[in-house]
Amino acid sequence: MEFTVDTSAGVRVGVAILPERIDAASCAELQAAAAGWLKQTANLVFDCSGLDFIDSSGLGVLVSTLRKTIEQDGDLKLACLGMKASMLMELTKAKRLFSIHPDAVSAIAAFHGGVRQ
Amino acid sequence: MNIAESTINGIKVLSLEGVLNAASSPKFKAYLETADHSGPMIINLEQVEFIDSSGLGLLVRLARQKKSANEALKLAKMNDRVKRVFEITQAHSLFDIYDDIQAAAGN
Amino acid sequence: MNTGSVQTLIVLREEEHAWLQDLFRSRHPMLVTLCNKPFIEYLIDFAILSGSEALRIASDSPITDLENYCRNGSRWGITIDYAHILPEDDQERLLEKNRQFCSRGKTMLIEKTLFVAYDKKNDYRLWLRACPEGVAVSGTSGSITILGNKQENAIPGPGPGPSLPMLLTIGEYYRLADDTLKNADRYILPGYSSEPDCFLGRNVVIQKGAEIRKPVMIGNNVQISAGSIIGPGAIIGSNIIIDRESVVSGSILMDNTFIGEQLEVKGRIADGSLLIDPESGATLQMEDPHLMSVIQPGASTKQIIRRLIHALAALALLIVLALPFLVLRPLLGLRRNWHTKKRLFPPGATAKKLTIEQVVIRPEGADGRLAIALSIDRYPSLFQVLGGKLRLIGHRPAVSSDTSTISSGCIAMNPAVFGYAETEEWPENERDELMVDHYHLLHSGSLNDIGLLLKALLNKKHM
Repeated sequence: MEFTVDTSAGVRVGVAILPERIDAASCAELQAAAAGWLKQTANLVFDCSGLDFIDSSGLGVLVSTLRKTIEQDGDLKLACLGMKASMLMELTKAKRLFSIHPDAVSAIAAFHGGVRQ
Repeated sequence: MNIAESTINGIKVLSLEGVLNAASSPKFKAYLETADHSGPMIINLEQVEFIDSSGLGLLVRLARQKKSANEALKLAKMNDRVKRVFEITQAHSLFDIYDDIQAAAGN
Repeated sequence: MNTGSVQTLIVLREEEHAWLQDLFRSRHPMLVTLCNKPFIEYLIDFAILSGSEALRIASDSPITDLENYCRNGSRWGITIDYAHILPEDDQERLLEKNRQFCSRGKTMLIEKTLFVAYDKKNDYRLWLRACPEGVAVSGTSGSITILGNKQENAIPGPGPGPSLPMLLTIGEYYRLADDTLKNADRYILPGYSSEPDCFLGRNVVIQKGAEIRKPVMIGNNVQISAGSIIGPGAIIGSNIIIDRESVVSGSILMDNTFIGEQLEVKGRIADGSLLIDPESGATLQMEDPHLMSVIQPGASTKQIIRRLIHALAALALLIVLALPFLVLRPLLGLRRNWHTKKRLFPPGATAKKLTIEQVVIRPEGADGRLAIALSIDRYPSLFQVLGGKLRLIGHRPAVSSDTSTISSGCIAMNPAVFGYAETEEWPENERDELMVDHYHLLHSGSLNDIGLLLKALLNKKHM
């Protein structure tokens, strides 16, 4: 998983590009990677443009990562959410927890000022 | 099984009566082979009480022959019992099926 | 020939309505429901309202399920029969093929049409009498053509004629369903309606604390669990379970759908495990076992207790049924009415597999019937419950099919000797059974299991 740190918003924002699938088999990998990213910054953006399939265990990792970022006064924002992932998040009411942006650039820009929206 | 032959609009109409099964289909087959039956044909199935797979096979072969000779074969006045057999076997997709002989003869 | 009678000829071609067929594969497009009423019934209603005495469905493809549904039409008081056409037949040819039917009087030819918008308060007999020969109504895809001349001095009755609304996408279907529910007084809709905008079917269980908001339509055999909110704008089909604290609004649930706990279905169409967004047409499979329930922490101790109770109950059954088994088993063996079938479970999956041996006894003779009534066929499997390999009651893999697709993890993890589905009368197919199994796997505790086991023992369909 590609991870870069962007400073264009005046704060350190970690941008990760999520893989195509996050399911029960692969969510442990994401969880481990996210733990590493959180050591670098609590401001995260997950670029979901490549994400085609996510199940509830994957969703669980997203929610737990969000919780950890908030505990560290940061946030996890989602960008480029596809239709299927979006439907799943609406169904499970997880969508309300996240701030969702059309693309990674606007998600990074939203960190400007450092307040959770 | 009885076979009655008539002509409507210059088109030969064979009206079958009785049971079209393994026992009776040789008779129908022989009937078709003895004389010249070229040209378009209508088969009236109104009085057919029962049709089995061999009877159906005969009609299917006749349809193929007519098709390769570029001549029309139409089935007419199929009753519910016969229709059922055509549905189960999906044979209906091989035939032009009319509910009226005059219409089948293009009258 | 023209005796002044009226008949309707509906023409169905396989290539039409492919979009509907793609989404709802298990049934003919004409049997897809709009407000819990199959499309074909709206056409039948309209044929009757226009004074038709006979209706013929001419199709270029097999329509066995549609024929089985409509049969001879006596349910509606109209004579229905069926005819076959070929895909390449044009209108002229198909009318020739059905000439005898059409020659009885004025004929209304309905083509490429799923749905006719009508108002039951209007008199369409007058409308039809006043229609001249030719196309009477045409919509975006279909049309109604009148064959036979206008009756002299006929004047159309008050009110507009029928119309053919746009219906080419799932989005249009969704809006039409909403519109139909809002204009329910125009149609003849299924269900009991004691107040406007609210239709209830048979055997609807609404648990305490569930909320129903109008307009709403609910089919038969529906369970709405505590804390759920249904509506406004919910069309709930038949054989449906909506689990605790879930919200369904502005949505259509097709028959045989399970909505798990604490989910929110807004502006969607759900069909079985398929969730459809009507605007984009995007679909989502709800096959994830966790979508069926929230994850229960600390379930393991509960699991152990449950396993113990199952084992104890199995032991009790083994003791009680020992004598009947010892008497009946050799008898059935002699009469060659004891067939065992070995299979691996779960099928297909790569997970750890379990060999299940199922016994089939035909209900023949007094010994066969008694053996089935006493569940002797399950006796050998009870030992596997003692060993903890099988549950006593849970999901019972169907004996007939090895190919069943096990869609959910909790089903795959809980094969059992008795099925929860055996406690209910209504399941007709494996899909129905899976739904009941799902529900109880997620809801039943150890004590409920014992009650359900007794129910399954007494309530077996073949008894």
